[in-house]
Amino acid sequence: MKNGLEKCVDTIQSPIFLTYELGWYYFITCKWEPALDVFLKLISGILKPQFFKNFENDLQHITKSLRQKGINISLDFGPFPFQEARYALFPHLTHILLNISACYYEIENVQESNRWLVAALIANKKYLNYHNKTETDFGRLAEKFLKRKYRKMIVFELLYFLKQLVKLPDTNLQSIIAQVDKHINSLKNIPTRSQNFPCNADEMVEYLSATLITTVSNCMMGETQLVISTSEKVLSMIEHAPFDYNYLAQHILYWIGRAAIAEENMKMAANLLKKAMKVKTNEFNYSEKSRKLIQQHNL
Amino acid sequence: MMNIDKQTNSISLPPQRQTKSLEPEIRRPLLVNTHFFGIKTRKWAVAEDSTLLVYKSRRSQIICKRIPLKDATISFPTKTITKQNFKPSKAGFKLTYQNKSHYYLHPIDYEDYLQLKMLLELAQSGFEQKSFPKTVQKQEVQVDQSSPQILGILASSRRENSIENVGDAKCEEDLVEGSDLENTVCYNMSFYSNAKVNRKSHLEVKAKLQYSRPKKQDKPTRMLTHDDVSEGSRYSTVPQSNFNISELRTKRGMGGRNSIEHSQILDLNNSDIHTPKRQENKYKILRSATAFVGKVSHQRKESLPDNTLNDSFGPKLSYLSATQNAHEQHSRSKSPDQYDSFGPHLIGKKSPLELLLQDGDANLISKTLSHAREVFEDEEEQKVLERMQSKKDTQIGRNSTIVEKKTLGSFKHYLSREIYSMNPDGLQEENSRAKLESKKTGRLSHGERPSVEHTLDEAFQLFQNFELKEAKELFLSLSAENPRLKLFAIECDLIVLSLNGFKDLVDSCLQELSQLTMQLMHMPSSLKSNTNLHFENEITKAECIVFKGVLNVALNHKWQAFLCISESWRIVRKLEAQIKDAKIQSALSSEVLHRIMFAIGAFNLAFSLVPPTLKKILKVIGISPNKQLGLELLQQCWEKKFSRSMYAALLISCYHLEFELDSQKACDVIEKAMIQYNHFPLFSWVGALLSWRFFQVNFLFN
Repeated sequence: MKNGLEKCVDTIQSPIFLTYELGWYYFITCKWEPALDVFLKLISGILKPQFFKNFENDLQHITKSLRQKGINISLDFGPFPFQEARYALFPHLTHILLNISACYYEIENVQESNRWLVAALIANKKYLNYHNKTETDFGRLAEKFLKRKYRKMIVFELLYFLKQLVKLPDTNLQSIIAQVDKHINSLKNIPTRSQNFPCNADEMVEYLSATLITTVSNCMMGETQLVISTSEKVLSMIEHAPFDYNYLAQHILYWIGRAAIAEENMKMAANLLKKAMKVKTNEFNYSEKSRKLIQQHNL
Repeated sequence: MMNIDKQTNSISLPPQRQTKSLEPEIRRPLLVNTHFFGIKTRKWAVAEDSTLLVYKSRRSQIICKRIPLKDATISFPTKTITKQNFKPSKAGFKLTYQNKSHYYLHPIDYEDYLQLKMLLELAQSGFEQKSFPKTVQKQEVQVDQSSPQILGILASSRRENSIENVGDAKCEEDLVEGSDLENTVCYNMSFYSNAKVNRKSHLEVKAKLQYSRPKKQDKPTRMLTHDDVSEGSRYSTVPQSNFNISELRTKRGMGGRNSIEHSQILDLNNSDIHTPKRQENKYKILRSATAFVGKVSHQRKESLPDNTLNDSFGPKLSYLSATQNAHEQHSRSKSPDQYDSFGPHLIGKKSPLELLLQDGDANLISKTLSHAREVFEDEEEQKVLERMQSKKDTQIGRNSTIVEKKTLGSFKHYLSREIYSMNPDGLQEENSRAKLESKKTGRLSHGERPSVEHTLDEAFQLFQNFELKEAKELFLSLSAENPRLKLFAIECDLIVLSLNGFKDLVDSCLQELSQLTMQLMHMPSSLKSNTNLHFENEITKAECIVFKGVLNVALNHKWQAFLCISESWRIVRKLEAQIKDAKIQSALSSEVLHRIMFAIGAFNLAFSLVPPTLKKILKVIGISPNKQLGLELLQQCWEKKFSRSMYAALLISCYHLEFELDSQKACDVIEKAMIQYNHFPLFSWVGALLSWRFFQVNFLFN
């Protein structure tokens, strides 16, 4: 990548596609500040010029709708920390904005993190270069993270939903599991097996999100037996997942189902995948994937 | 009301009832060329007094068009048709009119073929049907069937027969209506009859056949699907063909009942992977490519004085088939035990990545990629040796040096220095670049006027060295003489665009491409007077239009993009049909021929990758892409060094990375390309993506 960028220096002013990959490199290796620099540089060119012009007005509109949905955040943002650059066409917009928000959160600048989450919402609704399902899904994810009390899991969810977890070596996956466990342990009311449901909804969501990331990471490392052994507790909790976060439940079911297939527990796999197939969710829907898996393995 | 079609001189009549003739008519299928993706619609025609009466359907009584035969240029089937080898689909007559509209008239059976042939010959020579000779050459037809009366009798007898054998006739008719007729005529659709099931379903079917539902003591079946790809299955990360089955165990497998022997660890000395074992498959692959590639190879052998193309085509085809078979064989030989849903995580043995890391080599990516080189070395040596041998006569002195160096035993090393400029320090490339620059400056200072071909080569060299500004200037200066070269100047901008995506650059490129397309449209080129120029014009036009399509995709103008791609595809398909002719092929330059091959390959590959639902629509509109053919053509284009070989390399590697889960093949291509086009950042980009596939995230930036 470095070679590629060096080759571009003389000829191309701003090789955004290579810069994007570089940003991702920093992001998945948890180098937040360089990642932030790269993504900010990138976003200054790929956001439509109208976005910057109309940001104040759009912000007012979005504030109203967010309040109606019960989201109250301070929207007193300053000017953007960069100047407009030459406009370039780029297919991924929303998730870059979310990445910036995640980077700001990781460097403990919550206000800026909020601003970029709101920017992701606005851009997703009005200034997309290319409309597609993935962009819509990430727009919804932005709204959910604005609503969520804790935002630690945004990085990991982004890594998962952008299919970057599969690219990580085992050491990085283990580090992610450790970070997720630490976050869960820091919560006050951790849902336990004996606990009566529903427990605190915010913590329940965090728990589900953490479970998803741990499950996927374990699956990637080949620890499917571990996934199966911890599934009982998770499955009992999934039934009580808030409706808005059904996507987490569906993905957990799907991955435990895959682990069960790997462990030759076909009955369990069939049961879980059928459940996953029936879950109704508007974002990151895995019903079709579950159906294909069932079909593929004659479950 | 009567409308006269001025271009075809045909008369479009308002729907009217045909007056029933006393004699029963023979309705023959008539394929009419439309201008939408080259689709042909089938109508039915009756020959009457040197005019064809066209009906919409076989039983329709309404004449929708009258086509005069005397104005048409009639092409008769090139092969001699006998009763034994007669097939309605191969015995079509092509009627061409001045406005380039085509009709294909097909006989029903052999007798009808003879009648039709005679009728058309007469029509062409200006006779009326009434003046048919009373007798015909007996050697052609057993029965005297030349006169209209006899034609009528034959027709009536045929009709009687058809009434008697309704079932059979219907079957035949269906056959004619279905596949045969569509396979005929100027564009042979059989090239695209994709006998192979696509990868996903193929794997599923194979899995079902080979391993039924897993039993308790059996190991889980692993099937790679597109879903895995989209999730980035960790199976894709390591070249699977290089793993040794016997040695490894999974973490899960340690000591439990689920212990699974994994198949895969790097076995770099495994040379068997390229040994073709299944001869039948080899033949099959060759046959699938026959159609076009085999012919090209064969005919070029005869026609070209130098053996460059022969050398590049013949052995490569067999090589291709061999490697593919070997790969297929290898993948088939994998038992389900070798697979695990979540990747080869191994205990007791270090992963390939770890093994590589141990070496402490800084240039890890290129080292990883270099495994692929082993496979090609012998072949490369052979190729280069042949090339050297061909220059033996002209360069005696140099030849002796080569022989000396060969005898010294460091042939491989010598080749790597001599043939490719693959010096890791880039010294040789620097030298060549310096040479190039000194050449340019020298010429300018001496006021020499370089030859066009020489300057064009230099322009391409600059382009490949990623000196796009200089290359563009040179292309623009050359385009004054040959406006088609302006496309390469625009390509320089397109390369920049592919890296920075600037909107204003998209607009300007689109505008330039539109201008060039218009210019090419008005540029006179005749197939007969200058074949090569005509084909160069056509392929440049097709490329211009497809670039426009791609830019429209970038601008999210889906409909315009669709129209552009459809138009380009139509031109390419026409060219594909034309270059089947040996004469035309021999008249084409290698550059033009390979550009056409690249276009055919790229279209086939791209269309074969569309989602299944879209594929059905494509099939309806007459596009049946053949992925295998596409890949083979692209592979050939990549191996043959010309203006599009770089794109071929990119397409092949991206395809293997994203759709085939075959990192090894992607490695092969990328490694070579990174060496050959050392200054081109697009390959560094793909190389970086490849390194992600190898879990080498930490080395991505090094």
